[in-house]
Amino acid sequence: MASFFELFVKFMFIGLISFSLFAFTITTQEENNVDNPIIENSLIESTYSSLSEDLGGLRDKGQAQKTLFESENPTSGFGTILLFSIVSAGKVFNGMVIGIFNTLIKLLIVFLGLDPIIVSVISTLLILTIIVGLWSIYKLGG
Amino acid sequence: MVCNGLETLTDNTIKGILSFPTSCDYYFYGKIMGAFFIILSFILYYRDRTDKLVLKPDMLSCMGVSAIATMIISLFMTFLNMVQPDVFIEIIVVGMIFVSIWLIKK
Repeated sequence: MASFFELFVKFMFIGLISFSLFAFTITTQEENNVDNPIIENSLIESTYSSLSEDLGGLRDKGQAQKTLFESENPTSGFGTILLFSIVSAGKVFNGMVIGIFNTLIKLLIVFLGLDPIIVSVISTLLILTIIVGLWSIYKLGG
Repeated sequence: MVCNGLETLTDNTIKGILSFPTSCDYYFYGKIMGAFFIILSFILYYRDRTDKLVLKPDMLSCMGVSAIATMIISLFMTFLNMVQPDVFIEIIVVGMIFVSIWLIKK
């Protein structure tokens, strides 16, 4: 069964490593006065700022979801406890996974000429994994 | 492919001499880095295979580690104009694919 938490952690690590690589490259090239630094490329610049925005906003979004989760009064359901804030957390965090995927896949499409069919298949697999993962969280709580 | 001879070399600095092959083949150092990536991946993989402490050697993790090393060496090569900017971006993008697959599979 697809675990949404594992998928989320993996994508956040991929985003973090990509961001670190870009940051290291851009800083090192700036400090060494390279003739044509990669930050001059518009797509690299937009990818770097998108990653920075996505990862930078993670803490605020996490905190907001934690506050929502803490403020909710659990209702007892049929053999379970109902917490609707988990649905909100799922909606917010699946957006982050898709956001990082879209930011990074753009690089492959532009620089390597990745075929739209391949992108479509990978996106569908990812979206289905997210849906199944989120459903298992809503249903079983983890 | 016919390339210019060394007599056409005008920039006699280290930077000029090292970047001279790219005037003939734009992907000269890109190809070298590609070969370096493959060789390093196999070295790491076969070292893991012979290491008794590693129970199950993993080719993808070796390729992920090699991709990071290749990206960093290519970065240093851009200081001397050896790796051209477009080639460097391609190296980074391809390297990130290997790193991503490595992290997803883990």
